[in-house]
Amino acid sequence: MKSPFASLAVLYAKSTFGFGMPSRAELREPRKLLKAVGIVIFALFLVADIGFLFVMTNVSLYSALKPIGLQDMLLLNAATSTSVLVFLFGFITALSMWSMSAMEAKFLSMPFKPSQLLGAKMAMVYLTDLLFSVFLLTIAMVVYGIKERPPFMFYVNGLLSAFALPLIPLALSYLLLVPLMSAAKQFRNKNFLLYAGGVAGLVAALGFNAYLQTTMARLNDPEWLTTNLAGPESLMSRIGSAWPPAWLAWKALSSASGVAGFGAALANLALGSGAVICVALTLGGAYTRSVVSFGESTLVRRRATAAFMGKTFAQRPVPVALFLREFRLMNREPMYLLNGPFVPVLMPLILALMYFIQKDAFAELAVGLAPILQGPAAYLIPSAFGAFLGASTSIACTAVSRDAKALPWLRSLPVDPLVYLAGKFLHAEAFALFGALIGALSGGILFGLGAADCALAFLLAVLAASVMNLIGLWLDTAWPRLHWDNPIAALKQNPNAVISILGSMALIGGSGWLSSKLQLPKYGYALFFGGIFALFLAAGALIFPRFARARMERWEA
Amino acid sequence: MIRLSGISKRYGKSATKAVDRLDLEARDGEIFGFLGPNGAGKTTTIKILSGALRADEGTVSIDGIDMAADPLAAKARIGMVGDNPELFNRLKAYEYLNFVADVFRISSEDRKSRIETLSDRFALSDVLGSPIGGFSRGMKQKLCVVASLLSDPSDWVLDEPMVGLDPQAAFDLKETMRERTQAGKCVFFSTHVMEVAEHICDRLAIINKGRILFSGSLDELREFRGRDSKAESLENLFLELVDDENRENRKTDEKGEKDAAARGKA
Repeated sequence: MKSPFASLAVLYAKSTFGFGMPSRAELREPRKLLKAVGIVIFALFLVADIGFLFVMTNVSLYSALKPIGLQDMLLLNAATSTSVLVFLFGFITALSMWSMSAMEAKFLSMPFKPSQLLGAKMAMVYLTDLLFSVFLLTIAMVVYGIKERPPFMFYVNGLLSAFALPLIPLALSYLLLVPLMSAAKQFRNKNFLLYAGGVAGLVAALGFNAYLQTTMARLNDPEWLTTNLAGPESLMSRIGSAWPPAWLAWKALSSASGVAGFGAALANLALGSGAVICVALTLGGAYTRSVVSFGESTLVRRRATAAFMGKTFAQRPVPVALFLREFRLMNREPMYLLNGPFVPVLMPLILALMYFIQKDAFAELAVGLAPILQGPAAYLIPSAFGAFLGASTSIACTAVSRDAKALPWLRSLPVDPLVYLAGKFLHAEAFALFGALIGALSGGILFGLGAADCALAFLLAVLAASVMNLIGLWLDTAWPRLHWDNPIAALKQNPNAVISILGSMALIGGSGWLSSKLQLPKYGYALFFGGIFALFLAAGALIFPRFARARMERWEA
Repeated sequence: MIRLSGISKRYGKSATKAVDRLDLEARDGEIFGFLGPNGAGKTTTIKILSGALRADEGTVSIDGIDMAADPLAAKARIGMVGDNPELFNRLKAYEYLNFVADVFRISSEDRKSRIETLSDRFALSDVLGSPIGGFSRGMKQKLCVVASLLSDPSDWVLDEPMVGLDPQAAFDLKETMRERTQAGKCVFFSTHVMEVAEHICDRLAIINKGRILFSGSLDELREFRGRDSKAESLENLFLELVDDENRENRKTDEKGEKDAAARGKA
């Protein structure tokens, strides 16, 4: 019999990481097999993409430090940067997983000790952080291991350190969050928490991006690397010396041949586990009280006055009503807003940050691009950027999935299914216009385009984004995700959203490749691509309605 | 009037039919109760009759309009209260009502007066400007009831409408049902609460494992079960009927298994 704590921790972990693995019988079906292979390839691609950055950083750092005999500083850098990144990641995870609403409310009425409730939640957050910690530290260990051939205990100590590093950040996160959640009323508001978690995540993503961009821009500059990342006076070294888990991890790795290294790894684990246990035991009660009050909802009574009734209840055309419902439901849901329509705002911010950090590299690039920018690329590049932003909102490709819970009711209304989908498409198009405008304008300003070229870039971007929106809507009409427990599953865990984003990248990349092969006059490209996109949209307008009607008949929500 | 003829539905690749050759008729001017244990096929039937789900076989007719031939006209005659009031927590109550009124093309004047009357009746006037997310389950249910009546539908379809309602709201709902039938309209509702069905239904149907076991008035059910006494409760009759049917099904299944085993040995 498992202890209540272990049962709860396993249940939390299953609900968070529970992937529906296909059975052997299912894998015999070609479609299921193809889907599983696709997901595995995509996951590997993602891991390889992020891993590549860290591999390159570690390889460059090692090459820079080896000639001056400071290669062991690579380990301090790995331990410290992992500690810092795991702390940031852990804090955001703890914040965003603070309340799992309905599920948690049920546990509150069960005979769990407060420390078990908090401990199980911390265990789940720890698992998330652990994956990150092992991933980062393993890369540094492998790079160092290949070059220096350390003893076997180096890897054992490294792995133990990877297990230890997320523990103190986890304890500190809850040490900060529990009093905060208990004290401040606005922190008990689910929307506030979702927005705060989202914004903190974005800030961390921007910071992480800045760190990566800065490092990547200076990978060939050994002096900068040693001064900023691994020199005795560098920020990393100072954090490493002041932050005990990082210092212990460094000791565990750098003294792996002796007992001291293993002792440091064990001490790190003991220190971290002790901190986590202390927090779970002392703050369990306060945590439980905050979760109880978190579930409270306040009904604000707002009586509709006569003036309000007269103004508000005016008849509107059905498409307008459907568009407004769709617009309000998506953009008032923080999880949807931050991961969907907010992306065209976030992406330019990341790119602006990249621009300011790598100004020199951009200047060099601009010199290289100068001859090309005399030609069609001047308006094609901004239009590609605008198209990507316009198609990045995941509105169309999750249109039906987001409505899954309401579909039986919606389908009982006297609404033409195509008008329903048109409301969705209009919503996607409103943000496509916004994204295209931002892309075309920012590209236009960067490349010093005239108004006519800017307008052309905008038009092409809108057409391309519309193509992607139509494809996205098509996908979600054909294979909507109709069964989910958490609304975010309809968006972030929706294969249609992934296919749509990758599809828009492929469309833009393919168009770029094609334009490099074509020999057309400057504005011939606009006619060519604009014509193709317009033709696709016209064909879609002819074929999609019949397909959508037939498909919607078969939905079983 | 709602008429279902020979309706069958199988979900996905399931071997079992959720509803099987189902025939039903709910007439104008009557409250028709639709009863059955959990998983019997009540919600599937309601989804099919409201046009939310397509049947594999059979026809649905709403006031003589074939749902398959003219779904928009048929749906325009239905006011629907689904089994899940957790629909649009991010909308304000008036936005939700306005949406429904727009979809049913209700004029500004009509919607204003109906919303005032109905929200007063179901004690929602104070919260029309509030977000639905702050409502209790009962308040959400009442809001769905109000929304379903905005078009003054000739056929009012409710799936488990009493769940979450306080005694006053349940009373008001029953009163509204009765008023609508007195005005010659049809009320079709599913419920687990036998006392409610016993007291307000003019006719009822009992479904189990996707098949209709009985359809008619309560007196006809007593007669069907061979009971003279008027005191015999619907609850007893329902439980006996469903129990007998399940026992019969088990016998058939066991016999089938034995025959199959015998064939295997032979």
